[in-house]
Amino acid sequence: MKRRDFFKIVGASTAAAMTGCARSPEQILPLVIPPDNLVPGVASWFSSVCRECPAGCGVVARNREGRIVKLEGNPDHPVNRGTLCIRGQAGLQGLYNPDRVRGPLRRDASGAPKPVAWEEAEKFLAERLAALIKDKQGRRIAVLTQLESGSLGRLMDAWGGALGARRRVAYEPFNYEAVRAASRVVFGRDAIPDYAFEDANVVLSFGADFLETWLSPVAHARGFARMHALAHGRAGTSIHVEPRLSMTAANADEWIRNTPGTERLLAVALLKVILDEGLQAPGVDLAALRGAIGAPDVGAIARQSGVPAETIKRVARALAKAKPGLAVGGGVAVTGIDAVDVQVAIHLLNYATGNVGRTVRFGPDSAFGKASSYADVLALTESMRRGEIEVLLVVHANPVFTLPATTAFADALKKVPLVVSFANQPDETSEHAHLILPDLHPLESWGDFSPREGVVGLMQPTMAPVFGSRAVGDVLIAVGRQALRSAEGKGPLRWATFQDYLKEQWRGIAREVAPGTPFDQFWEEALRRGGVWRGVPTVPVKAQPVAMASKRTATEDGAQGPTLLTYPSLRFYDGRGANKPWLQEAPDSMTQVAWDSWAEIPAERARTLQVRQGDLVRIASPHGAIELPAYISESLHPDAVAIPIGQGHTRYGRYAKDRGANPLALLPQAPTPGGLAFLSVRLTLTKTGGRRPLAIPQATANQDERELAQHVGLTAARELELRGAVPEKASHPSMYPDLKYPEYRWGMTIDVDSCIGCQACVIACKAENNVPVVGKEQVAYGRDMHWLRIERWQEGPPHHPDTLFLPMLCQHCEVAPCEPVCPVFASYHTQEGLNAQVYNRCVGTRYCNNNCPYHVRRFNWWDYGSPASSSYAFPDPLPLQLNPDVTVRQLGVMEKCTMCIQRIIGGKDRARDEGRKVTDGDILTACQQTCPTQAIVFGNLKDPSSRASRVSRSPRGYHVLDELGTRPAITYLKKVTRDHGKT
Amino acid sequence: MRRDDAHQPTYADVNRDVIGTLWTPSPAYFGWMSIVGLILTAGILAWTWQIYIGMGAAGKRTPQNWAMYITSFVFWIGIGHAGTLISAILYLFRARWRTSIYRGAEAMTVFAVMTAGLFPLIHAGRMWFAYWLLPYPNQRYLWPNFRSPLVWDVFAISTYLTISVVFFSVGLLPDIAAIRDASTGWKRKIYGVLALGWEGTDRQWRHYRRAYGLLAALATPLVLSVHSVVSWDFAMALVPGWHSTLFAPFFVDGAIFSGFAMVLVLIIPMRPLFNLYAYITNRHLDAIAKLILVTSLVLTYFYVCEAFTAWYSGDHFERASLFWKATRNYAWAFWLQYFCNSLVPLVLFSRRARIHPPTLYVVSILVLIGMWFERFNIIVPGLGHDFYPYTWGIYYPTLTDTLIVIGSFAWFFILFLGFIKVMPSVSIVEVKETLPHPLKDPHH
Repeated sequence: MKRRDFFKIVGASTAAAMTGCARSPEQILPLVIPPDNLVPGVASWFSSVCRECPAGCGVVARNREGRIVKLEGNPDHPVNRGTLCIRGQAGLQGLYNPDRVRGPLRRDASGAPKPVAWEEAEKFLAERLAALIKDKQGRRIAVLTQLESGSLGRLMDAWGGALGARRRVAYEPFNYEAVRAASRVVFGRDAIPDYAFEDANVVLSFGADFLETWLSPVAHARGFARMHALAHGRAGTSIHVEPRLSMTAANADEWIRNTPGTERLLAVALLKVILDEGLQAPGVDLAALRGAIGAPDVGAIARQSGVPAETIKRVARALAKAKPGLAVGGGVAVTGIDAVDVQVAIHLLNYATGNVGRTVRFGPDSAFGKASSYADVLALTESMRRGEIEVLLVVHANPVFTLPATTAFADALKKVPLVVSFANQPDETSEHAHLILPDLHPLESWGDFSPREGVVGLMQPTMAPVFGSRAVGDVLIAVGRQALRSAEGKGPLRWATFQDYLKEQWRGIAREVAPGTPFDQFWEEALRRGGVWRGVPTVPVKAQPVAMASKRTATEDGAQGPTLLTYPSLRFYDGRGANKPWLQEAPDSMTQVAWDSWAEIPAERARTLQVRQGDLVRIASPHGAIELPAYISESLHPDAVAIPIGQGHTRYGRYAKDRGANPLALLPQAPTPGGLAFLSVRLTLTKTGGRRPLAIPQATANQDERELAQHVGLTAARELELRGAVPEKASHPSMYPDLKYPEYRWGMTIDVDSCIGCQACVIACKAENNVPVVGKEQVAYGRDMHWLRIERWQEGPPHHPDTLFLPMLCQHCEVAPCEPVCPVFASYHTQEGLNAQVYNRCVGTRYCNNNCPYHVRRFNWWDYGSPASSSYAFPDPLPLQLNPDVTVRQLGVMEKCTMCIQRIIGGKDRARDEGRKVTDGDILTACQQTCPTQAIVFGNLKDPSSRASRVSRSPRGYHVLDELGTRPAITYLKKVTRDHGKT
Repeated sequence: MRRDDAHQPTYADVNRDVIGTLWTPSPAYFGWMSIVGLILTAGILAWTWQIYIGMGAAGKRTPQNWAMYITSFVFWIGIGHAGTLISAILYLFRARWRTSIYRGAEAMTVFAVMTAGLFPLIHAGRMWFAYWLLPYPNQRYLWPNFRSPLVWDVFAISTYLTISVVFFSVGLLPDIAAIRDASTGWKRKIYGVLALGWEGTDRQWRHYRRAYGLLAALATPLVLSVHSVVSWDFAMALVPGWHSTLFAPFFVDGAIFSGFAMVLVLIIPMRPLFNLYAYITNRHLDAIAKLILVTSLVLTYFYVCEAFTAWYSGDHFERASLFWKATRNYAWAFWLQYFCNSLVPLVLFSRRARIHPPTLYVVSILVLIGMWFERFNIIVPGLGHDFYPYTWGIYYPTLTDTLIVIGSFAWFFILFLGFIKVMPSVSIVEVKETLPHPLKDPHH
């Protein structure tokens, strides 16, 4: 970053912080008299809402000298309670994406986008709109947005109303409308309920990837961890039914691999067993239930689904006896043609076992219920195709990528004379836009978002805009007024800015929530807190068990071949994360593939096709064909082929370009009662003969008896807990005296039982510590720079393995093998027990990394840090994200986890200012801070009462490779495995 | 003109034959120099590129943070050992057959150490700061870490280079004087300066002998110590297959083994080229071949020990590492090492093979290949399958590091080729000592 840019940003954002967003005209010069709230070197925090998916987690953004350098979860926010997922952590790279649209663009006659001035662009649009309004042709205006459950959505609706436009389509590729439809059928309530994982004793999931993308993964992960953890001798059980070993399946105590598309049958069979054995909750309408499920043959279902009848019975009993249990379903991967029937069955299952109102709560309904249905999107597409749309405004939706190619949305777009895109990143849809009016990034904007009833997160500009973008709300107000020829303060769009509109909306909220408080005070508090939330009572619902609609099957009739399982990527969601290099470089939790897309092919089928890992395979459905490298899976159901959604972008910036293929091209466009049927096609696979090896940093998932990730049975763990037995530690006699720690000894505990493998910590670490992105080839060649990695180990039979996730980072060994071998003391031990690395002193012999048994040290093989280098990892404006407290390492030096030493220093400074010693909570490492399940605890091991100390004395504690005598400062806690369902 | 090996040359013959090697080089010589020079240039360019673009240009990765550079470093240090052994230890033991070959072997030592010494620099990520490994006074009071075997290396190698160079130069003095006396013009002036006023007086000879003996005694322990220290780079580390007390003798023996092979590679062509049959006789070849055979047998013993210890220790990591080396991706290198170092030298049990230069030459080349791969097997496959399965991996050389390693051979040979044209490659003085004195022998 140039010095001048820096001052620009400092100046502008300070002004923004003072005045609240309005852009200051004096941006160039630094402030002669700085405002009180800007102290160089001291961060300010602004709360906002993460908009990487509709879960709407609260974030706080760390602002240093006018730029946001880190995102953290808002500890007060009821959805995420301070934690964030991998996509949330990577939100910064949307803000600072090098490919961001830097100003309004208008496509000229040749089709090339040309920069235009904002006034000109707005005027152009306003004139077109005015012409339509004048001719009473407002119906020819359409607005297509993402799910906006807050003021912006309301403003856009008001705007549309004022101009006479069509009803806005709030398009979410994953809208879970089957759940909504089933709620309508069973409970007569058009909503997606809130699922309380934490209150369940048994969670039964039919392919709902609730730890990855389903509804609100961060909240679910927290709930799941609470439900599942061994505490006071009790631990919940998680059972997952899915043809693929997803990350959620890998975390379940029992993974049941069913034949694709048999969820409905299984749910019905479970109901049958429950009713037959009289395990239903009291007060259940037995007759109606029996009528609803008919007379299924459990034996036949067992054969069809590949799940033994015994297992079905066992699961049914477990769920019914859980009191309460929780049955969920409808992950994108298993949304078939019969999705609504599946959801009806699941709702009935919850009803029959008495979970409705306890773990399934209507009232605090999910915002997903407000998304438009797939049919609405298709209707709009059809109108476009028929030429009924004159002006289409696309706000943060990328239907050209996320709709099946068979919908021909791109062709329909070509029939629209004026397509206006508000995308601030170039994407497949904005490629077809005639006018691009880049919106601000959510972190630069005012706004609000309500993830569920009773919770409204408030967004404020956390920094001045990086580029010349304008808030979509401001543009709409301005353009609408011009088109309506009404003056400011008058007419249906009287507000000066969107901020005014937002405040007006919040006056309403204030009256409702805090009637007695003056608005300004309420507003201040809401800004600081990040929104308002209140408890919403659970609405009692009455179930009407209805017969399931039909004998619909999940997949298309009469088709042959393996079924396509296409699932949202944990990293890219519907593809919107693919332009973020952090996410591209983070390996997929299950396959450990980075930077690419793949088709997961069962080993049996791969053998018949003679396909090896990395061989390109042509995958064809009746609706389309794609080519992808094969990932050979022993565990995937033999009748399935799994492909993640999210890659295969053609126009989404440099990082997303030419990475894999988009599996949505294989889907039919036909709408079903449950929306788009993701699981509905059968495939033909052919080997193409080409090869594209995948970049997989993990050499093997087999621990080779090294006991890196350890586990203990639930019974044994319970016994250990009762006895309070401290695990045996191997003794390693030494000639040297024990190290002394005058004040602190920093250490960490990591609970392998809680770690779900979501990789949020990996990106948090990357963001906090300026870790460079190295690209596919380097990752494939063992040169990735992650200071922290999530290893996936598996045990047991390859087709049905037990999975263990092990976060691996520098162990800060007391007897560190890296230290004595360094010839220049670049690697040395601090008086606080950290294994420090002095970058400036490092000569680059790399002896330390040879000698580190964990191989957690990272060498700068290329010059990632200098702008002149061809390997420069931070193209503009990414350097704005760099943490000023951490060095950007140079060519030829070794680096590694520092336990966020900058945070340690900050924490000690604050404690010293307050004249006390550091205590728990003063210092949170970046990985610990973001962990959705709070598996990581950092603290002072010298203080026996600190949380880290106490946890490290757990009877489940162990050190990785303890026999080497390295005495790590990180204690791992063994995973607690269930005997449940295991022979 | 080929002389019968049995024919005894006179002092005059020695002067003529040996100094004769220094006359104007043939076009073939220049041809060889150009080829070697070209390869060296390619190596230098590759190194320059690596410094400019970063260590990534070499094929290293996690877990092979060390690869061909350290392999070559250990290889070259090992080569040097035969030279010191011949010149110092055999001198002290009065093994008279050494006289005609020790000069070449000593030159080889100096050049091999000079080659080896480049590799730690080539290998360092920030070679421009490599001097931080030296204990020099500075205002920050920063010292190197004396616990690190790499710092021991710095001392071992610099000591070795110093002693070798001094020993080599002292031994050269009387010969330089002889060349001075036999040459004219500007050459005479240069050699005159280099001869440091050597006149061959009784007093000078007495001092010379004493100094030479003293230096020989100083150099002798280095034969054992230098490679022991180098071996500790590995033995002091934790890596399975490295962490072993066997390493010091194992490395020393391997060093002598490969050093003698290199001696043969150098002197066998010198015989016909410079017509040195009278001085480098079959007896010399036989003696060296016997040493190669003995060191090979010892090495085989160490190999057996190494494998046995890995198995007998019951240590899972050691066993897995050995098994992987022997059966997986690098199995070819593993078995090549045994073939070259343990099997091939067994032909030297035959006396006919020991005095048959082509056979010896082939055996020596194979031994050199085998010994390079022995170090390769310790480093690359050894690191490739260590404690942590997540990072196990295969190293692939790149053009850059291949060119640098090949360039190091060119560097060595260009030094040696230069040397044989400016200095006597057979010691005039010591050869003369083995001949009967003309005054005492009336038959001549």
